[in-house]
Amino acid sequence: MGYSFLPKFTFEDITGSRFEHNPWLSFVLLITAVTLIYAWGYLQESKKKYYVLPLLAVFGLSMAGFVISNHLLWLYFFWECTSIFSFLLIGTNHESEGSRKSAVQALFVTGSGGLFLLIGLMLLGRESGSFHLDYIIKYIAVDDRPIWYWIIGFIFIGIATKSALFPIQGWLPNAMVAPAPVSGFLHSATLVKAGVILLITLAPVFQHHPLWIYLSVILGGLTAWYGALMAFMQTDLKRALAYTTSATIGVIAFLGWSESGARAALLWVLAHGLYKSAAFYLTGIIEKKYKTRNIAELQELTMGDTTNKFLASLLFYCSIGMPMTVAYIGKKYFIQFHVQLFDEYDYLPWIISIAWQSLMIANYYRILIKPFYHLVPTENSIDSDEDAEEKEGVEVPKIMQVVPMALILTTFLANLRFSQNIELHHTNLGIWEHWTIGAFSLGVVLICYDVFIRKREIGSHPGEFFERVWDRGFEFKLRNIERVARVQTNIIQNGHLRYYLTVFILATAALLGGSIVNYSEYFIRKPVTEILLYEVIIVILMIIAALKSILTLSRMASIVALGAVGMSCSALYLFYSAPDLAMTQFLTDTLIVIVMALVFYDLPRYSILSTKAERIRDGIVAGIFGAVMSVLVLSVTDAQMYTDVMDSMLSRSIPEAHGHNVVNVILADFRAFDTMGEITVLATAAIGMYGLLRIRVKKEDK
Amino acid sequence: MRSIVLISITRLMMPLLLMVSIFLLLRGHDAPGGGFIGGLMASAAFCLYGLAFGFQRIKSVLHTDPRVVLGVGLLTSLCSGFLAYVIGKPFLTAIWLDEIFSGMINIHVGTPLFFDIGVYLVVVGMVTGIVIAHAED
Repeated sequence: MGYSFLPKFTFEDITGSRFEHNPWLSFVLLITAVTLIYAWGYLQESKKKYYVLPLLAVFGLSMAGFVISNHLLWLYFFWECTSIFSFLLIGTNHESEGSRKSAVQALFVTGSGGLFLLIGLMLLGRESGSFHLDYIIKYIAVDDRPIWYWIIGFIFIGIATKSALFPIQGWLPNAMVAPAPVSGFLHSATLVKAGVILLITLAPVFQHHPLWIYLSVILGGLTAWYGALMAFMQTDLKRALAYTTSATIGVIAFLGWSESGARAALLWVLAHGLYKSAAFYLTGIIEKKYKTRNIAELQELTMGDTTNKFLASLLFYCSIGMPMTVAYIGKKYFIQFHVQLFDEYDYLPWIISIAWQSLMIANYYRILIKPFYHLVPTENSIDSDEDAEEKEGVEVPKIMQVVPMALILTTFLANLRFSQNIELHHTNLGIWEHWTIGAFSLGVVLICYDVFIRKREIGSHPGEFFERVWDRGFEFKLRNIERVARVQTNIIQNGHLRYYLTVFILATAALLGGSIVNYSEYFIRKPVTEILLYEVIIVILMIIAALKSILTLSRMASIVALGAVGMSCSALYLFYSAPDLAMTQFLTDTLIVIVMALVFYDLPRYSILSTKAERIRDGIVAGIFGAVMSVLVLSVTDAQMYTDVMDSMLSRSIPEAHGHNVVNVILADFRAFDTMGEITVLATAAIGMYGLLRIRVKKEDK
Repeated sequence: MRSIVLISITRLMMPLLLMVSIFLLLRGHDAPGGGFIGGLMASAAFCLYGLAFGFQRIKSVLHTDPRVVLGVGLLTSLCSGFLAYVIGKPFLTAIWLDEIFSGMINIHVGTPLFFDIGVYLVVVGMVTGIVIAHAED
């Protein structure tokens, strides 16, 4: 037989063609391995070591699952896994309130975005007729129908929340309360990249749709600028890094929406992942060593720290995209894409991108150079009477120093790998020079401004206003959601069994009724045969017995009436040539009446406890459910589904199992294993019930 | 409250009902019947006996505890499945005597019958067990 009851999932089904030649996978695995080594050193004296390390490993695995899954729902599953582990990792220091708040914020934002993504992916799968990315990317093209606006809108909300794009960007800097390995790994190299990775993956499908283009370009650009400006205002090293991360992700979104930009975006993701996680790990070392993250305070402390000075300078070289680094190639691709997108002589986009690049250069100067080189004394320099011992800082494990170094080396190695198959239009070389020179000279101007004019590094800064707006807005939203949830819970789950039952029954009736209407084309009404007198008599008997069982005040009468309903039912089975069923029903009804009589013998008579209105309401609910069930049963007999199963059982019964009674052949031969399970369940239930009853007997004995 | 009528009728009916239940069990493979229905029929017979003579006396008619019947039933079904291993076939494959010894034995008996007997015993054990346990209350 060529059918199976449950589809089997194999590894190939999940990954499809996405397993081989997947640059993301090696990237994620590399960063995971490096992060685990670093975190091992970072947390050596921490009690949370065995909380953070396994979570980091599991997070790495779910991220790897995300980048290789081919089925849209598997993709969504891993996407949600990363959200949940991110929540757990941000909340590592759950003793502090800020940590808890940030964790909830991250989970809430990415989680609700995930719901939108799920809707989007399901619509996409429905619209394409397949949930496999391979298929969708190859064969599906968007058109003008409004459904595509919905799909793109929902998917983009998911991308924007995960990657912290402009209007939803605020959770990312707040998530930086987590320990350095978590920040570097999740909130710079991998988790926040999930959104843009999805963007790049889906680019071939959506790239001609205007909504997709406008959303990515505009939101990407806004995020890039917002992040760069906010980073420039920060005085905390880690927050500044967070904002530069957000800025870079903005650019990746700006690049990643089309197939021609996807290569640039890929290089940016790799380059940024490498140098930014290295920067975060360096920050972690600095923080551990000197117990501060303030840029000005560090200037005083890091005088003699040559190792970290060297590392930071190298990182600065990598992050501003100097030659021989992978960021350098990424930048070339960026310019190539820029030329394709805008006219070569349209100056405004060029000026904007040059200005952005110079701002980022200044940012990296502030993060990686300024804390280590004391060029001009600041206003708020720390008192010089501190003893030298304190300036030395605390020893950190050597392994921690190795990790950023290894990551920096990888950026150079990656350059070798990618510069081999570089295909750039050499005609644009002029633009490349103009662009670079412009960006660097403007960057130098900004650095000079930072060094000589702006001196305040402690206290509030204008950027805090925007952060406060975000936090207030979030708290307001959260409060409202809590209020709505409370009202909703009071309605649905108010603690009264009768309401639960009502909701449950009505919901079941609605779902069943809905699907009956939905699949009505499968049901072909058979012509009604002649109705015989004894059938009418039996049906009337059944109705009378059913009414009696409701209306009577005696439990025994009601049990016997129910028995009568069952017996009439089995009589009907008999007339419609189902002797097996009739016998079974007859016997079970007999036994049920006996057992129920035994159980209910000692209980008091029924009494009326509810008002008339309540009873009418319950009657309506019961009536609706009964009607739906009747229609369902009627439809089932008319359903013309899976007739081949029926035919095969009928034809195989005698030659293969030597039996004429097909029902018993199925039970004792074809599906004997199922029956084996059933009798095991019966036996277990009987033993359980026996045990429960024995307990009661024993208590009464005492 | 012993009813003479009930007791007399039960005395008459008990063997008949049990025989019918075994009849149903044996013919199950080719005509309406089978282990489950046969088991229910036998349980109904035991319940009738319980109603007439008191439920505690069911045990003495069974000659053992209902739980033992239950266990023996499960074991019978399981063993009938394992017989297939002896001739190197997958678990629960049906084996027929007249197929293996074709020509020598002409009785149409196979492992499905033993499987059905197991089902029969499980059902009897379960129903009588529950009824007795309730009556003990």
